[in-house]
Order: sequence, then C-alpha cells, then structure tokens
Amino acid sequence: MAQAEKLDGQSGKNPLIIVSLIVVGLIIFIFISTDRGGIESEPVDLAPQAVEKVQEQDEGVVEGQISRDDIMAPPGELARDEIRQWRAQGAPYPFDSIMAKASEFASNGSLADAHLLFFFAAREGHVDAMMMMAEMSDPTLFRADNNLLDRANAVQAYKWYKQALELGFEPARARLDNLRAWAEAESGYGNAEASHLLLNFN
Amino acid sequence: MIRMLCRLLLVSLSLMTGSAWSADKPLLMEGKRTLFQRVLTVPDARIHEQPNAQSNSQSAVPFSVYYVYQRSNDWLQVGFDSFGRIDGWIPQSSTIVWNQALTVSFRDPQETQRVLMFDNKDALQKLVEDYDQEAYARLYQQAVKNEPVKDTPVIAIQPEAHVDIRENFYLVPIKRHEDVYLGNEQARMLQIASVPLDSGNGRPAGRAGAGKPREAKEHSEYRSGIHFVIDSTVSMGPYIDRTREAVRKVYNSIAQQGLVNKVNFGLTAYRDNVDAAPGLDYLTRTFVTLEQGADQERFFSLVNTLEPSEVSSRDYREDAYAGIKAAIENTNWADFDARYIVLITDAGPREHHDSLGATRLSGKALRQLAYDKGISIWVLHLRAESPAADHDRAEKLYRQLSYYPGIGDFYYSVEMLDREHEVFGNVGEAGNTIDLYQRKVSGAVNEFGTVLEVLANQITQQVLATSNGVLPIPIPEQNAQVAAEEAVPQQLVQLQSKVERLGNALRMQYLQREAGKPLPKVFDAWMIDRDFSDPARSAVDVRVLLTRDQLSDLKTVMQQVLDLAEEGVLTPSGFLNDLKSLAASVSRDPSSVAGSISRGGGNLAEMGYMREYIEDLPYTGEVMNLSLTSWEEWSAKEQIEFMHRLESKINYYQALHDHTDLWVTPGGGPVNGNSVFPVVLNLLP
Repeated sequence: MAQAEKLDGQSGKNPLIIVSLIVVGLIIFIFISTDRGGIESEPVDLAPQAVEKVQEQDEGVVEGQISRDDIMAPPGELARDEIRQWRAQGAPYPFDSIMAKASEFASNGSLADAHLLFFFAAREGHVDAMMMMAEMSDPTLFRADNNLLDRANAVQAYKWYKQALELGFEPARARLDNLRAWAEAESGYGNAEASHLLLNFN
Repeated sequence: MIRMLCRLLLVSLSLMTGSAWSADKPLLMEGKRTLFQRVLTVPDARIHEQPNAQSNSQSAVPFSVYYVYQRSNDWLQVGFDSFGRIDGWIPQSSTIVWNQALTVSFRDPQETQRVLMFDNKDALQKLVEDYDQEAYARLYQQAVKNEPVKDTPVIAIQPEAHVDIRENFYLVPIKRHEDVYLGNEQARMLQIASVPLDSGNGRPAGRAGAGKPREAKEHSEYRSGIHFVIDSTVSMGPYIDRTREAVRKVYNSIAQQGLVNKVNFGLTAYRDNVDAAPGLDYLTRTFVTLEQGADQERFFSLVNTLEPSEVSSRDYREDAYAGIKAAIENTNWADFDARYIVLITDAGPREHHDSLGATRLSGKALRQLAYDKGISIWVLHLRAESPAADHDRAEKLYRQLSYYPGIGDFYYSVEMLDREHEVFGNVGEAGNTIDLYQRKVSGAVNEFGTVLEVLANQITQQVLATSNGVLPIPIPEQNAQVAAEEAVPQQLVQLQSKVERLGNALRMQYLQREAGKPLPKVFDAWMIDRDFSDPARSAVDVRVLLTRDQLSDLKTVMQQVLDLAEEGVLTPSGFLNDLKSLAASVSRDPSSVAGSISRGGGNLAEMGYMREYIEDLPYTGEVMNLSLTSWEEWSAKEQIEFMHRLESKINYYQALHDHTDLWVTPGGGPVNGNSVFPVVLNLLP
C-alpha cells in the first residue's frame, strides 16, 4: 500500500492502470515481437485497440519499446514500404542501409521484414545478402529460432551460395562443398530433397 | 514428258513415305489435343513390315513404348517417336494399352518390405479393408521363403535385389488404380502388368548374404546376448533411473521366463566429442561386457555406477553411433546365437558428415556393420521436452538404424513430459512379436512402463524363440566364400539386376508355378503402394513417364510463374493480375483462360497453367491446385513458402532435364525431345 501511495504521488495516476498498461504492453510485445507462424492476423486485429488505450492513458509507458506503426503493420509490410521507397529512388540501391535495416528488423524479431529485405538485396545482386539467405536455409546451419522459416531448404541454400560464388565470393565454395556432403549423406537415407539437390552437383 | 516425270516422282515419294513416314503425327487420345496413343510391347512381340503375320518382322524389346499411328483391324502401326517415323505393324494382342504412362518404381527392399502381388483385386482389397496385418505377414513369409502354398492369392513378389530405376531403367506399367485407406494412411491399389521370373530357376529364396543354417546344436545350448548402449550425457540425468529401470525390466522379464541362464547382458555408455567438451570424460565406456553380464549381481552392481556427465556436450546431439560401434566391435558376439543392441537415448545421433562425430559412419553403414554380425539394433527414444530437441530427425534416423530387412524397425518412443518423471508415451510401431516375423501394432498407451513392458516382452520372446532353436535373425556365415562375395557386391548387384530385367520389364519372382505349365509371358496383378506393416512408408513410387520436351515445357511455364511470385512477394498487389495475363500466353487454350478469369478461377490449374500431359493423373498438385485468389491476404511467410515449394520443383525439373544420362530414348539413339524419364507424381507441380 505504501508503495502504491508513493507511485501515486509521483505520477498522479492510478498505479493499477500503470500495471495494466505494462501488462498490456508486454502482451503486445510478445505477440508482435516475433512473426513466425500463422499468428500474423491476430496482433493486427488486437494491436490498434491496445495501442489506443495505452496512448490515451499514458503514452510514455510503451514509448521506445514498440511504435504504433510497427504494431499496426502486418509482418513484411514495413519492409515492403522500405523497398517501395528504395525502388522509387532507383538503382544503385544503398545495400549497406538495406542490410542494416534488415538486421535491425531481425534483432527486433520482425523476421518477415528482415527476410524480405535480405531477399530483395540478394535478388538485386548483393553478395552478403545472398550469403545470408543461403545460410538461413542451409540444412547444416539451420536454426529455427530467429528464422522466418520453419525448416531448412537445401535448394534455396544451393541457389544463393551458387549465385554468390558466381559473383566471385570464394567462401561460398566451401559452403557448397559442405552442402554437397550433406546431400550425399542424406540421400543415402532416402531423403528425396537431398537426392534431388545432388543432381545439381553431378 | 516432264509432267509425267514429276508425277512419277511424286508417286514414288508418296510410296517411300508410306512405309516410313506414313503419317505426320500419331493418333490422339480421345478428347486430347496433344497427347498421343501409346502402347507397350509384351515379351516375344514382333514388329512386322505389313499388317499380316507372314510379312518380314523383327523382335521388339519387351516393354518398349510405341506411339500408335494407325489402326487396321487388330493391327497397330507404331513408331518409337511422335515425329512421324514409323517402325512397322504389331498385332494388338502383343501390346498393352498404356496411354496414361504411369509406372511403378520399387523402393530398396532393405528399407521397406518387398511388395506382394495378388492375382485378383478382391483378395488384396479384403486384406486392405480389414487391415489384416497378421494375414499379410503370413503371406509375406510364405512368399519370401518361396514355400509352395495351395490356393494362395499371391502370384508374385518384388525382386529381392534392388534395381535403381535411375541407373537401370525399367517399367512396371500401371493399368488401373484405386484410392483406398490402409489403416489411417491414404494408399493406392494398383493393377500392374509384369513379366515373371521363375523363382524356381532363380537364386534361392532368402536374403542375399543371410546366413547358412547353423550347425546342429542342442536347443538348450542356444544363447542370447543383449548389450545395452546408454546415453549418459547430462541431459539424461533426470532419466538415468528410468534407464536403469528399463534395463532391469528387460532383465526381470527374461528371468520370469526362466531364461536368465541363457542370456548375457552387457552395457556400454556413451557421451559425445570430448575435445569439444573436455569435461565429458569419455566418448564411450564399457561398463559391463557380455561375459561379465552372465552374473546378475555383478551386472547390476556395475550398472549402478552409471552416472550422467556433469557438463553439457556441444549441442543437443550426442554420438550414439560411437556407442553402438563400440558395442559391436568390443563385444565377443561369437558365443551368442541371437544378438541384440538396445540403445536408450534422449538425443539424436551424429551422422558421418558431422564434424563432431567420431565414427564417420552413416546410419546405413552402421546398420550394415551390425547386420553383418547378425545383430539387431533396438532403440528406446526418450523424447524429452526441450526447445533444442530434434526429435523428429532423431526418430527418422533411429528408425532407419533399427530397420531390419523383411521385419521392420525396432524403434520405441516415449514422451518425457517433465523432469518429475511424469511420463506417457506410445508404442513404436515395430511391435515385433513371438517369431519376429509377425508384426503387431499395439494401441497407444500412456505410460512409460507400458512402452517398456512391450520392449521387454518382445526381447524376451526373441530370447524364448532362440532357446527353442528358432533363430529370429540369421547370422551371416563368416567364411571365405562369403568374404569373396562381399568383395564383389557391386558386380553381384549388377548381375542380379540383369537377371531381373527383361528388356524394359522388371521381372517379378513368380510364385504360382504349376508342373508342366509354362510361365505366362506377362501377367496382371494387384498390389498396394504402401508397406503393409508400416503404412506410413511408401513401398513404391508411382511415376509418370514424361518426355524431355514435356518436362522442358513444364519447367518453362513454372519458371514464369516463379518470376511473378518473386515479385509478388515483394509487391503482393499486382501478382494475381500478372498471373492472369501470363496465363493467356502460356495456356493451351487461351479462350478457356479468358473464361476462367472472368469466373474468377483461383488456382493455376483453373487459370490455364495445367498441362494436358499431367491433368488426368492421380495426384493433387500442391502448386497447381492451391487457390491464389487471396494472395494479398497471405502472410509474407506463406507467400515465401509457396515460392520455395515452386522453386524446389523447378530446380528439380531443370537438373533432371540437364542430366542427359538419366533419359532413355525409345528405340535407342541420342537423347532428344522424345526421350523419357519416369517422374515421381508428387514432384509434379
């Protein structure tokens, strides 16, 4: 009770509201901070109301953690906006900025946005992005956490390593060798994906 | 005069082309715009110059694919390609109609049961509807052992040796197919045509490399050796008592049958790469040898010293293969007539490409190592809850590791819900019982103890069978002859595949021989495309014979869709319209595209992307039939996954197209647009 009075005295607001806001903020963060799986529509529906409530009562509570735009945008939309703007400016694209933005999305748990930016940059010929795309899909390196994809995809890994190698990025060669070793081993077990991938090497 | 010469020239030309180039195109299949009628030749078929039996003729390679150019009474004018080259006439009775071009390829019999072929549909259908595994297993054993059985519905069995269709092209044409359920799995009953191989003239029945009958021995002298291989890493800490319980359960079960003096127990513990995690202390350590394990007190006192490591290994995988290899190699198995390794673990193994693995063996190689010594591997997989666990991968690998040809796998899993040992689980589907050949599927049970009970009982039954002189698993004879055979396994396999092929036909081990009656040239039979004892496994792949031109067309069209999808992932709003615009240019029938667009056709097939050569096949295309109307509402992840699925298929089409060594040209000659390859149905878009 003494603690409540102290808080009340400092903020001039009901502490229960503040606690509620923190809880609501945390819930929103949990739902929004990662966009793996099929939950995309839920936070989009819930978020606007939650944010409005938060802002009506105390904007400061969630400020700096998560922005209104971030909450409202479906996974991938922020990246698409960025891409739209970069395309409007035309090539050559600022790949360093794109990669930095993608990494920022990734560290914030916006995996779809990160993936789309890496994909965009890789598609436009940026070797670092190609390697990033490849490693995210490489069955020998795959990690489900911090990855939009639920499972590795050897064909994607092969495609991006190969393109990086064709652009002269030599470290991709060792990765391809590794991928080939994986495919040889797995095909022995009847892994069809691995057997099909092997056709690309032989 | 000049006019006359011209006429003469024209007549001559028309006569010449009449024999070799009588028509531009083969006959179309009914209702099709681009698909031609095709037939296969049966063994001993002959291609004649004229449609009469007296005309000059030459033999046709059995199961050759021909296009039909003309029909005249009961004769077909045929050619190897669809470009107008005619090869001659063949009696219709010497052909099998094969318009859909569906064929079967068999899986390696070391990975799954050999397929039984039934002489009538009803017999198979009854087994399928009743899901009568016991009856099927009985028929299977009779067929494998080549036992003469009166009134058996089984007409033939898949060849014993594996013939890889990619290396040795063969056809097992499908004439009819029906969707059914086998247990809970969707399956297909297939009517196939095949060519018999007289099993009486072939190699003796039984698996190649399997042991000879052992020397006469009193039943009472038969002994079993059971060696436990235990994961003793830190993650097993909470379950180490459970592991001891498992060992004790097996022991007690055998003791209750009064068989203890016929069984020796051993135990090897394993951890992981000690260089990567030095605190692990050891990679493998034998706590009890089989010799020591003859004495109960000694065995359990040594087992009680088993403790989990105090430090974590590098990741969630552990080197189970090292433990098994140690148990295989460091144990004197020679004194035991039945040999078992029981692996108990909560983690997946390190495969041979894993830099932290010590054995550098694949699971398949390790299994072979055990198999060569007559050891069967059993796995008790404790599926502990952990975000880092890779249980599905581990299950797959352990099922393969514990698979015994002709019997099934010996994999058992238990869900470990928390660290308070509140457990429940289910019985692995191996369920091999009394004579090891009879498989039994137990219903789901919700106790660790029950799973253990099943495992212990089944091992006990094995021991009991052994003590009664029935060796459940043959032990290969280690003599010079076998060693010599092992030295040339590749040549042997090649020789076997030659014996088992006749032209393009794969010859089935024919079982219904009647004295004095010749074998049929060709026979029809019904089979199921799933492993009857484990319906989750495919026993065969259903394939469609595509020409290289068709595959090229498929690749080109799908690549255009992929290009749009890539852009559609970055800018979803225009994707559907772009797709519809493209459809008009790639469709076989632009007018129907316009109709489908106005009706709001939602998937690629409806939009006009479906190709005629795949549209009637018995498969559901995951790409073709997926509605794309709500593309803009899909999550980015769903869009990306769709794109990846499509791209994986395209990559396969391209790689296959470029591998000219995989293509077969009917009638011989260099690879061209009419060359064929049997593509697995589920790889179609």
